[in-house]
Amino acid sequence: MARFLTLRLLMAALVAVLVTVLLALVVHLVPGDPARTILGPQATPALVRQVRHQMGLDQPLPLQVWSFLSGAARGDLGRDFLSQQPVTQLIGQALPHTLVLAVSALALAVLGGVPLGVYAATHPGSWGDRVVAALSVSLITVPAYVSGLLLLLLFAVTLGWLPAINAGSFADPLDYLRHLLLPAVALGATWLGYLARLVRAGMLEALTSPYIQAARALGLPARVIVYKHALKNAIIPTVAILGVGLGNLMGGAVFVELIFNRPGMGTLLFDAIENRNFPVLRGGALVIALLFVLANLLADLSYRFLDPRIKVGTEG
Amino acid sequence: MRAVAARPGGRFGLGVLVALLLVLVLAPLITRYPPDAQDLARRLTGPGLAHPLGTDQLGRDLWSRLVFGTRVTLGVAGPAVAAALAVGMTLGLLAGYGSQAWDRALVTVMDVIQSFPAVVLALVLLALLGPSARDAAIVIAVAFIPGYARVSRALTLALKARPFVEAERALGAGTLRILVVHLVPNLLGPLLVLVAMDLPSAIAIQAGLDFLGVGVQPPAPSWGGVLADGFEYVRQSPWGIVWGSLTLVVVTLGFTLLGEALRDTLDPRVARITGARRPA
Amino acid sequence: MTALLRVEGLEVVYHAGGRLPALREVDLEVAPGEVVGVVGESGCGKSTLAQSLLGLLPANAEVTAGRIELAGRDLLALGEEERRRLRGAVASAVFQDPVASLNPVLTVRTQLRDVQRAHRPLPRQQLEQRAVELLAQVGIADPERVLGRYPHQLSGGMCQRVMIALAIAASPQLLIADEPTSALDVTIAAQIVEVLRQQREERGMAILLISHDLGLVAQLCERVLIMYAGQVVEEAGVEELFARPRHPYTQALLAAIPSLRPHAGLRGIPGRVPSLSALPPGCSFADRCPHAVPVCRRPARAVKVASARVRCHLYDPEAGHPGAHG
Repeated sequence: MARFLTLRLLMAALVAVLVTVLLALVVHLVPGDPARTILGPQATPALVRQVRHQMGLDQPLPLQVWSFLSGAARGDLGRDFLSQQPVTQLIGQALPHTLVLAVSALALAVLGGVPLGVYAATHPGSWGDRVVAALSVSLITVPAYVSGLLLLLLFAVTLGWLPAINAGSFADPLDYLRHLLLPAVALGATWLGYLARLVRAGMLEALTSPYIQAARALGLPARVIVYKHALKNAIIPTVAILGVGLGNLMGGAVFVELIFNRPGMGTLLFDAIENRNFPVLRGGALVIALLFVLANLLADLSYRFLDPRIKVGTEG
Repeated sequence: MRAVAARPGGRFGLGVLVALLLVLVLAPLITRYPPDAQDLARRLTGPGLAHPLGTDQLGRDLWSRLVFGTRVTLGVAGPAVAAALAVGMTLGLLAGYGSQAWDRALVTVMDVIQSFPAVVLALVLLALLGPSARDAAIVIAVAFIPGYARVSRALTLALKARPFVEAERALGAGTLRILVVHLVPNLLGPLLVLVAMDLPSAIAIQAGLDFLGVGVQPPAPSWGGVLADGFEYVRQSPWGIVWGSLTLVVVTLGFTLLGEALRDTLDPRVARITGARRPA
Repeated sequence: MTALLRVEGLEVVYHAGGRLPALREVDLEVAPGEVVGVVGESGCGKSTLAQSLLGLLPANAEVTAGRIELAGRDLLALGEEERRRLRGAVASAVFQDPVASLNPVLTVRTQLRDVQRAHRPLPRQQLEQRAVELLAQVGIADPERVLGRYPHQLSGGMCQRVMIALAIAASPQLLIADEPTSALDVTIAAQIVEVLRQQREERGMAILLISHDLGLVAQLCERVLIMYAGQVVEEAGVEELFARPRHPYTQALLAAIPSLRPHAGLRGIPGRVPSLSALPPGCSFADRCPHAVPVCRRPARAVKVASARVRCHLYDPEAGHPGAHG
């Protein structure tokens, strides 16, 4: 176990380094200059030099990477050029909103997808099964921004039932939830379809396995068989996927935050892109990449935790 | 291979494919207005006689923008997937057939690439490089390469041990000949399924990037662009969003179903027994 | 004494690309406490029979005729919930692959608890106690330790003991053992046979032993049925069957047992079991039978001969087989 964790930590470090190097490289190789772009064409050379120094761009590449990463390890991701606020602070304000959104989306996906998958597997070939199949395929293929736009159009603009912009504040939970609903649904819809399929396949496999046949022969009630004996088996690969999903949702979150004008990492990054705000971009990309690695790690750990065949070794 | 057409999903998918190809080729013939023709007197109208789908905020015909946008959107997503296929297949072949060291190296690199969220990476890179359709294509291609590399590698490893490869080598066939003549044809089937499944993703990502404004730049027509304009003016007119979404959904659904039908036809294991509906 | 299990004229059909007759005209009786064997090759319908007796036929199988009476109740007329209550409590089963028949993500304790709760809910402590007793009864030396284990941590023989413990947990009157030793080593198999025998004696439980292993059947059973292509072709007391096999298929089976005599060679049965989708008219064994004559193209009746029953024209005085025994 210790070895496994160390390996994963090394992987995470590798990713961090790679992301930073990649970004530094791109900035270095691309014509134009972040400092100059931010300052505008009127900037004096002296000012440009000063800003470049502030961003650490005048150092040789390896040194840039090193100083940035060592700073990051200490919790210093540089300063936002425009507002001079520490990037860490900006991220600290934005990240919670994104995390809430991602977790809610996944929760909705699980609450919707798992029962649908179980239902489809316990009624194979029925109308219900076919509806679930059609629904899952549709949901899987619709990208998050399309769902977001359509939901916005229908519920916020046309019907006016739910707010269209902003997130509300944590201080008013109910209002926050009202603002959270549409974005979370938009983000989670794809995963709902995906999970429904996954759970259905897993359940079908479990339900046709010898141990379920044996359980039936022993006279166990159907509910116990489906929800305890079969589901426990079917859910293991599903849980593992969820960990990956959390990282994956970051991509979709960018779109959804933009569409619903929510504060979060997505909006932060997007604004930084518009303004060529290099320090924010660099810090934000690093945080996201690390989150992704963390999510993958959680997924792996959960798999090991849930499956006794891996958790406990074999003995005589 | 036309067993694919036998399945309802496959039929729909093939229909979509054919429709798309027709639209691609016949674009100028099936539209009444050029995609960037502005008509400021008729902004943000709904479906009507003059403009079957309505107009956007500059009075441009939505149907026309979507039709010509097909060329643009597919013109980025298509080559991206094709490139990913070519590069991925080659890398996978080399890894599977070549030495252990190459193999190990490749798997690690692919793992790292796959552990990034493609969209975020694309965003950041495109932001720094400047928005451009071509660079978007490159990023998408890179993101999809690991998929093809993995499948090719797995299949190559499996095929490498088969008797017919040994026989060919005994007869003195060179490596290149073995690779191209014997291994590649066996890879094409599963890789084709992957293409059919990746295209909708590529299109979705591409349209998403266009929507954000970092891919294809206006005034060039693109599906993502239509969505973006629709979004900006959503309170005045829903039609940009409606038609843009419909196009994207139908196309991605079509390709996905096509891919699934292909996969089901090629994989005999996926025979489903629903059985007669009688209580035991 | 009323039979514990009575099967009359059972016919089961599979709907899989056509109508495949899996069981035809099957008659079977098991008295309380009796050990009956069912012998046949793969595909002869043994497993289908076991599934029918438990009411566990797959969705594409259909009972087209016949009657199954278990402990005086008409199984085919019962609803699913009633049948469920009979399973495990009146008739229970152990299957071929013990490791695969246990749920890999649940401990032995949980599985034992679930079986008991399904039929006899008791407070937790008593359930635990019973679980320990059951494991001890099937010959497990360290029950408390095994309770906490997962199936993949146990050997094949151990798993089969656990399976038997699960099967007898609700004290059924009939245990259906479908190839219980086929997946086990010979020495372990012998131990399992001992467990079965012991349980039968202690509980007065009847056993329906399904196997292709004639030796096993000879050891445990009092009466034997031979099945071929979905039909029962012979039924007799175990000694009678081995001493005087009547049906040509039975004779061939017994002759095929490898002999330890030097230079004896192996004697197989020429031909192959007919596929269910292409059954020959009349006797299914005709194309492989050394005694086949034109009249064998008509279906054979099951006929009583001494204390046995045989389905073969050779023993049917009304069939008109030239070689018929009077």
